[in-house]
Amino acid sequence: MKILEEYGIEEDPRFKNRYREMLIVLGCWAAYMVTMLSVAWLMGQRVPPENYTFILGFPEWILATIIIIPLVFIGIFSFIVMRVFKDESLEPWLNEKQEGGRK
Amino acid sequence: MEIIHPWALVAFSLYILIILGITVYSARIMARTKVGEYVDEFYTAGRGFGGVIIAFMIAAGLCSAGTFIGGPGLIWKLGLAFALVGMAQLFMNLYVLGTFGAKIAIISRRVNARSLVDIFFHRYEKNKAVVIGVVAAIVIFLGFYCSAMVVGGGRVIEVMTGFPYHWGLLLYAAIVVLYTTFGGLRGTAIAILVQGIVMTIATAILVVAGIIYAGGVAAMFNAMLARSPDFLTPVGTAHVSFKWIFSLWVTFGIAIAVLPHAIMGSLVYKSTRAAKRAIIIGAVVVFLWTALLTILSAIAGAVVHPELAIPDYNLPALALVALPPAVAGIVLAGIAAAVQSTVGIMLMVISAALVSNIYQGYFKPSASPDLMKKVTRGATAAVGIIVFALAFTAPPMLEYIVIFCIGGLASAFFAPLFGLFWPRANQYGAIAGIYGGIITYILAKQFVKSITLGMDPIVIAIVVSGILFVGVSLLTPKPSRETLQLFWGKTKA
Repeated sequence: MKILEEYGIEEDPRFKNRYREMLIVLGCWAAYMVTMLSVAWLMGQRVPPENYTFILGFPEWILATIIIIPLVFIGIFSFIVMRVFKDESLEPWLNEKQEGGRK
Repeated sequence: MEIIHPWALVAFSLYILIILGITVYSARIMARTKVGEYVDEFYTAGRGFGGVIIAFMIAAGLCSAGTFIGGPGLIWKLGLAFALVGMAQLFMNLYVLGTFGAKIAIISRRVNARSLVDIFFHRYEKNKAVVIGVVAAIVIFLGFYCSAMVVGGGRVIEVMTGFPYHWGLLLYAAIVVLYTTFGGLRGTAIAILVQGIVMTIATAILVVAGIIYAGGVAAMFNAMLARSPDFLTPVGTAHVSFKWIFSLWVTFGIAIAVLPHAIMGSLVYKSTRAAKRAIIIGAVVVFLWTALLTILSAIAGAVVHPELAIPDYNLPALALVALPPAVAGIVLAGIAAAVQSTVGIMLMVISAALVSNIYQGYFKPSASPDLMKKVTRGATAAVGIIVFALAFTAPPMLEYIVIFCIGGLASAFFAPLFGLFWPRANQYGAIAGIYGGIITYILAKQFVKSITLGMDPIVIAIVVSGILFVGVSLLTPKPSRETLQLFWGKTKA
């Protein structure tokens, strides 16, 4: 962000949060993908279909990847979104008042 | 399958009546809008939508014929490889609202953006080549995407009512064009909410009836195993590689964050609280639609109908045998709703790009409010009619078109949108990234397939686009102070 200093632009703190949240979301995507694809590979691909274990009628890897893991991640991501992401104003510009009346 | 079910038609007509009611309601609001505010109201509806509407606007706007027809078609044909791909889209609302969309929500209020194009326009110094590239990508890729959706819808009507394909298409077209043209984004959003609810009910009914008809979960998977063991593996009968599955996790995962019709949601939510709610509600409904409908119903369908003329008929055909006719009509309405909700929001995006970025931006900046009102309506109707006309020649496999269009849009927009977080990015980098991305994608898809390393070309196209975007930006002058103030500054000055 050197260029902002060069131009003497004071950064809107909301954008710093948005940047941080974007990185978290990219991490969420990667974590969900890695988990799903590894489980599919380990439980579904390394084992020939004739030897699949069935739980409640589902082949094990299918129950895991279309029901259980997604539900677990819905829980984790909901927690992250509600607790970690900031609630902020969407006003186009921040004036002195919204900063907490410093001036 | 050419049998008309009167009860199915009754249930379907009821759905159409509700949508027409919404059209009338939102047309009245639009009629009360002052002429000077008409265009903004038409495309952004006051930016005051709450969590539930935003959740459906993004989820139902993205889940359409791909999720409800094409996906089940591919599962029928190739097996569970496509179930694994389908699950990639689960957190679409999080990707849209949590990445670029999060910053766009504030920026769109600074520049009064009506679509993603305005964000590019202001970030990249109002550069013409950027705007033309972005609008062209939207019109071409979203246009084809849209007409692929319509094809899916026409087919469902054909299978389930016996109505000839072209007549079904006309019926379809008329409804969507009406509510987008007269209701604007507000009409589209309320329609999406109703469509989302119909989709959810239809999903729940079909999956339960389908599994029972197929003899229960265990019998269903055993039948599949007996027919073709490969059908149940993560690579399916097509024996696709994990590399290729990964590339589709890019397509249906993070790449969704840059789709212009999805980003509409982040332009118009009323608070960050609404956005958070939309993320969570979205994950739950997409889970219901994808895991239950696409995957479980598709497997049930594959067991019930091992032979099908067109794979995309999988779910409609299942609904016809597993449900009584009147209830099958609800499923028909649900699938129709899924398609219409997407087509409606796509028409809004294409129309906004043409009207506000091309017509008002370059041809007639001085257009009077009265004229703009006419142009807005006229363009929306015209885009709708053209898209439906394209759908008259139906392509065989829907899902491939969906993949191609998402790939094209993401190759063009993914890297340049990082200009929202990287101040040094400039218009030259954006031009290189947009055009370079599209060209690489098309070359890799059609001509030099070897450079894709066994993946869908989306991955290589995003990488090339990203390198061009960063490299060219660093080699050319810095962006202007005004632009950075607009995209990073705390105060207007």
